[in-house]
Amino acid sequence: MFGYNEKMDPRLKAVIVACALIFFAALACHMTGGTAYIRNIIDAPPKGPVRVIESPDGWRLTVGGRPYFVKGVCYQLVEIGKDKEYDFFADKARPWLTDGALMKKMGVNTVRFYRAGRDAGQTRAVIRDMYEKFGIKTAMGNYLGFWDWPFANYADPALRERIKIEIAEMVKAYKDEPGILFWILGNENNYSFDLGFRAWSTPDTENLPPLEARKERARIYYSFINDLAKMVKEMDPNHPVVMGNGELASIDVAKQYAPDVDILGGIIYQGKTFGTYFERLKRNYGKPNCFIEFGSDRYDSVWQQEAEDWQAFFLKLQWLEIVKNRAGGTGAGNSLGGFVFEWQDEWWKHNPDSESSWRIHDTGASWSNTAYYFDVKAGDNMSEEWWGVVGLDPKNSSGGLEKRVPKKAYYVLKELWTGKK
Amino acid sequence: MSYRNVFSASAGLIAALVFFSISGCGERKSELNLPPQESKQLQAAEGVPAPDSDSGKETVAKAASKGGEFKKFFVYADRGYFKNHYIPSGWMGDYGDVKINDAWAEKPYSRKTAIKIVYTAQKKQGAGWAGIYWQDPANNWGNLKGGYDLTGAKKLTLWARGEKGGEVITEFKVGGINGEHSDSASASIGPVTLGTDWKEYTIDLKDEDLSLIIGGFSFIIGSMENPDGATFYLDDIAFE
Repeated sequence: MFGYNEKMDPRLKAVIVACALIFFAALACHMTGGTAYIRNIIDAPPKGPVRVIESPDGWRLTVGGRPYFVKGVCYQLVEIGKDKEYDFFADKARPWLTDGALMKKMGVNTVRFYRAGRDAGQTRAVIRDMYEKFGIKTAMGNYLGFWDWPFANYADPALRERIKIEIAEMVKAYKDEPGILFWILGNENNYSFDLGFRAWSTPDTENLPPLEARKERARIYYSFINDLAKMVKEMDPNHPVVMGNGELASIDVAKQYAPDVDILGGIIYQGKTFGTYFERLKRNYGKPNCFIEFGSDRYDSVWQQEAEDWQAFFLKLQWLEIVKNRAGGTGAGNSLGGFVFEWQDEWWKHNPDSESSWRIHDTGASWSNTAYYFDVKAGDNMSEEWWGVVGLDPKNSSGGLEKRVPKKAYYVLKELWTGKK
Repeated sequence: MSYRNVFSASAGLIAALVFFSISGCGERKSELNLPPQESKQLQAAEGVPAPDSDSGKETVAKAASKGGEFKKFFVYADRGYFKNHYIPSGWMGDYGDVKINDAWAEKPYSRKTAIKIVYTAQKKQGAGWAGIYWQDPANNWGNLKGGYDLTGAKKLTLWARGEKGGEVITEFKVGGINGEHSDSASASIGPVTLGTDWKEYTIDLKDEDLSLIIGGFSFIIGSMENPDGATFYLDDIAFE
C-alpha cells in the first residue's frame, strides 16, 4: 500500500499517465463521433478523372484510378408547401447541409440532381459543400426539355440547338468542380416514342407504318443524344456521359445510333427484382448500367398506413441485385451502382395544381404497379408523395427546415452501404 | 493504491467506454417486420440458408419430361385440348378493347382451332395499350401459389398471323409477373410485325431460370402502332 506521503514509483506514474492519455483520447473520439478524424484521412473524397473501364470480369467506374461504385440518392428537394418551381439551391436555410450530414452517415457517396439551380454560382456552392463537407459527389442532370410545353420535338432543329446550348453551358459551368462525377442526359425521354407519353412526330414519320415510325423517332432521338455526348466529351474528357432511359424497349436502336454514350442511366420499377434487365442490356446495348432511379413507395393503400418495412424490403432486394451484377460479381458484370428514388418525400406531387395540398401529405395513389404487391388490391397503389428514405416532419422545424425523419429503408441501406448497424 | 487496483480501474473505464462506443445505445433500426415468406427471401438474397425443416420452397408442378428430355408443353394447342396449360385470365391495359375467341375454326395453323384476337384501339380504359397473360392458376398476379417448373425447356414457340398484314405486336413474352410468388424468369421478343401467312416466332429461354413460371405466355399490343386496331391469330403456343 502507498501512503499519500510516500513517493510514487516512476513506473506506476508512467502507467497512470498512459492510461489517462488513452482514456481521454477515447473520450475525445467518442464525443466527436467515433474515429472521425482518422476516417476522414482514410476516406478522403475521391478526386481525379472519372473513367468507365471494361475488363474481363465486367465494367467499372473509377475516380482518379480508384474503383467507385455509386451508392446514390436522387436529391430533388422540395420543402413542404413548395412545388417543383422551388429552387433549393437558392434556399438561404441551406438544407443540403442538414441532408448532406445525414446522407454521409447513411453511406451515400453520390447525389443526383435532376437539373442545376437557376443560378450557377449557387449550384456550384452546393456541389462544393456536398463534396468538401461530406465527401459526396454530384451527378448533374438535365431533362433535355422533356417537360416543356409544347412537348419537346427532338426532330426540331431549333429545339436541338437550344438544348445543345443549355448542355454546353451546364458543362462549362460545373466541369471543373472536383465534386462532379458524371453528366446525366435526359430521364425517361424515350417514353415519348416507346410509350407515346408526350409524343412527337415529324411529317416523315407520319407517313410511315407505326413500327417504322417508332424506330425512326428512336433513331432521331438517340442520334441527337449521341451528338450531345460527343459535344460534352470534347468539352470535358474527364467525366462520363450517362443517358437517362426508361426500361429497354428501343435500346437496340441506341446501340446503333448512340455509341458515344458511356453509361446507360436506367429507370425501372419492377418490385423485388430487375428480372433479366442486366442480361438484356448486355446483349442489346453493351454498355454498363447505373440506375438513375430505383425504389419503392412507402404507403400501404389497402390498410391506409405507412409501410416502412415494405419499402425497406424492396430496396434491400433491389440493391443486392445491383451489387450481384457488378464487375467480378455473379451476374452480368455491367452494374455500376444506382440512385435510390428518392432522398425525401415530396408533398406537392399528388395534386400539383392545388397549392393548398402542397402542405398536406396526400396518401392517394395515382398509378398501379402489381410488382409492389403488398397493396395491389387497392388498384392504384403507388403513392407519389411517399418515396423518401427520409420523411419530413412539419411539426418539428428549426432554422426554416422541417425535421428529417430517417425511415427503415434509410437504416437498411446504411447497413448495406457502410457495414454498420 | 496498488498496481492491480490502478490497472483494474483504468482498464474497466476504457473497456466500458469502448463497449459504449461500439454498441451505441439505440436499438437496431434496420430490423424489419415482414411476413415469413418475405423474411425468407431476404435471408436467401443475403446468402443465409433457410432452415432445412422449413425451406420455404413451394411445391411446383413439374413439366413432363421423357428420358431426361423436355417434352413439348402446350400453352395452347386446340380449343379444350387436354394438354393445354395456363388460362388467358390476365387482362391488362385497355381490356375493354380486346376480344378473344379461342375456338376460331377458320384457317387454324394446325388441328381444328386457333385463337382469334380483336383489338379495337379505342383506349376504353385510357391506357393506349392492352394485353393478356395466360396464368396459372387463373388471375394469378404473383399473389397465389401455382405455376409450373419448366426447367429443361429451351424456347417457347408460337405461330401467328395478322388479318390484313402489318399488325404490330409490341411484345410476346414468357414470365415477368412479380409478386409474392414471382415468375423466376422474364423473356420476350418484339415488336414484331405480322404478315397474313402463319409464321413461327421463338422466345429464347436457354439462359433462363424456369423453375417457377406462373405467366406462361402474354402479348402486348399498342394503339400507337395500331391506330385503327388489329385482328390477329395465334396457334400452337408451346414450351419445347
